[in-house]
Amino acid sequence: MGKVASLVYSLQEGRAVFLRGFRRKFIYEGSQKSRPAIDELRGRELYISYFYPDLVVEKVEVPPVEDEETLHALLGKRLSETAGSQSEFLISKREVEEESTHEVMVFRVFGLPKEVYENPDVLPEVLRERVSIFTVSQFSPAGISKIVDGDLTIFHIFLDEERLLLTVSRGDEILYSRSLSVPGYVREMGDLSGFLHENTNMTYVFVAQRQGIKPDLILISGRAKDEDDFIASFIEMAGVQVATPIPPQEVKNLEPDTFHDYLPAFGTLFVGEEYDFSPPNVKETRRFMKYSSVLMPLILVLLLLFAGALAFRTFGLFSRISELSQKRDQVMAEVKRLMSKPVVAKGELGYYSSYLNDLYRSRKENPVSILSDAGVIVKKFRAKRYVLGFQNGKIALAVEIERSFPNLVEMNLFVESVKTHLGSLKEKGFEIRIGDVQKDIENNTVRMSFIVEKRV
Amino acid sequence: MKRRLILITFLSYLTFTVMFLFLGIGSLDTGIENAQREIQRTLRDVRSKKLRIQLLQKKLQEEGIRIYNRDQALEKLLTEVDRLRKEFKIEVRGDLRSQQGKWLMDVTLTFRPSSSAHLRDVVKKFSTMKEPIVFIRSVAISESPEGASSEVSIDLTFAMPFLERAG
Repeated sequence: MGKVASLVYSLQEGRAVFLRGFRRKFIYEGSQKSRPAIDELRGRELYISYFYPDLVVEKVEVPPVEDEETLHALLGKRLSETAGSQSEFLISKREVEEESTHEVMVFRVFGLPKEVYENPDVLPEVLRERVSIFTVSQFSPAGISKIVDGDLTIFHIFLDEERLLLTVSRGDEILYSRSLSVPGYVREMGDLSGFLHENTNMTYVFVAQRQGIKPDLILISGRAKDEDDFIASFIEMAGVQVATPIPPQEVKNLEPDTFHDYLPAFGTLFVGEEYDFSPPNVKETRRFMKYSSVLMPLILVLLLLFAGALAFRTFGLFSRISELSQKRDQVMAEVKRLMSKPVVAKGELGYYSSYLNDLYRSRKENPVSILSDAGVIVKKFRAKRYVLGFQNGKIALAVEIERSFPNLVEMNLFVESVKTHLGSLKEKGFEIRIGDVQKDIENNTVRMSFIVEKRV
Repeated sequence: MKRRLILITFLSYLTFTVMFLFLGIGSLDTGIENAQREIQRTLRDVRSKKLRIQLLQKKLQEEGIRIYNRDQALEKLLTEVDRLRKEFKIEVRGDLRSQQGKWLMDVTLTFRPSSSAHLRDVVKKFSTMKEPIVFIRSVAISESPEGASSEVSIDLTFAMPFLERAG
């Protein structure tokens, strides 16, 4: 929670409250009935309500303008023209929506002469960028009225030793305001009641009759709440409900008497931003400061997160690098071990590999190896010719048989026996190709040829 | 405001730098992972080469293979052929040639085995020869018309490797 100070002052006097707060929730810490020195305000967010009774208020009509900057400049110029003043004004504005049309926009414009704002006695330059709102005292009671009931039109009367503030507002919208300095003679004579009575009644009549504003509720605060005669006569005159505000829930730790003594200072805390008279460049700076105060912690958090993650990853990286270097050492050691006792000298490996390959190939492609399975053919059937060979990845045994038999039966039995043996070889995975089987049944002679093959 | 703007710019710059470093380390990490895999593979290769060399060593010991230079290999081949000439009728087919680090000679042997055991011994002899290596291309066994011992014709290719030393 940040430190906050809300100041209500004129060039002659001032009051200040000190709080801690964030987002319009505050804790009251203290107050003083004088304007604090700049040093006392160091590190505090400032809400300033300047007592300036001569505020220019006009209704201004302008053609519809989209651009806010242009609208602001146009309204300022129109205000100067309407008010017949050479001064440049700092303005706050509020559109009177019920009177605006498609062709014309109607604004209620409040003008504060720029030289007032730029007067270092009013607002020292060093404080300008730290000010959250710079408004006028007659707007401040509206902040409290809004808290009491934002839907009602409230006529707020505040009186203290220095000033009388009369503000008519509904929610955030200020409909009418007036501020008067309590004259010295009134203070000396102690006739605050008469002063209050006279000015309040007159203003109420003006508001109700001339301005056509019908208040739903009268709020009486500050010293005015103690003026029983005035309250009684006012109720009789206005015929409207009257109430005294109590310390709002938004400000903790606040006594009713303190609240009433410093009501404009508390009210300033809740006045809408549209009633801030700070120049556009100051508002822009303030906006930047506001966003940057959110952005900076965010960037810092991101930075910390990434830095942490980076550190973590870097640590992991170093451990991996050390692991890598261990593995490299392992490879080097293995290679060194291999190279220390070379089995085969450099250049001999090809010779030996080729030698062994040829040797194994000669054994694999040796056609005689087919006899280990098919040798039974050679043993059992005496043939005219056997040829063993290797071709197209296969070893083969070609057999030509030419035999005579004493009778036909034996001849047929022989042929069948050959076929049976060949069949059993086929079952073992051999390929069998049988050529012509020529049987001479007159001479009981048979001629046949076949090939047994095996892929290697 | 100016000071804060500078601070925000600096912090943003720092954050982005750290972020890019973080991301950069990620890609470095991937690089290290690849290198690690590469080293692992090299280690496996080295080990498998070691095994292959050990295997080769074992085979070389088993087979008793020696190194011959070009001339020694030719001499060895011709000596072997001469020796066989005493035992068999030898017909040389084609030319003696040198090809891919070995001498090659195609021959045909013809003989009449005295028994099947004799035939077996001859075939076994050629099947087990290592210097030179003998490729048995074909074996033809024909029954003699008189019913006497068969005639055997064997086509062989002798291959005698040699080591050609560079330079």
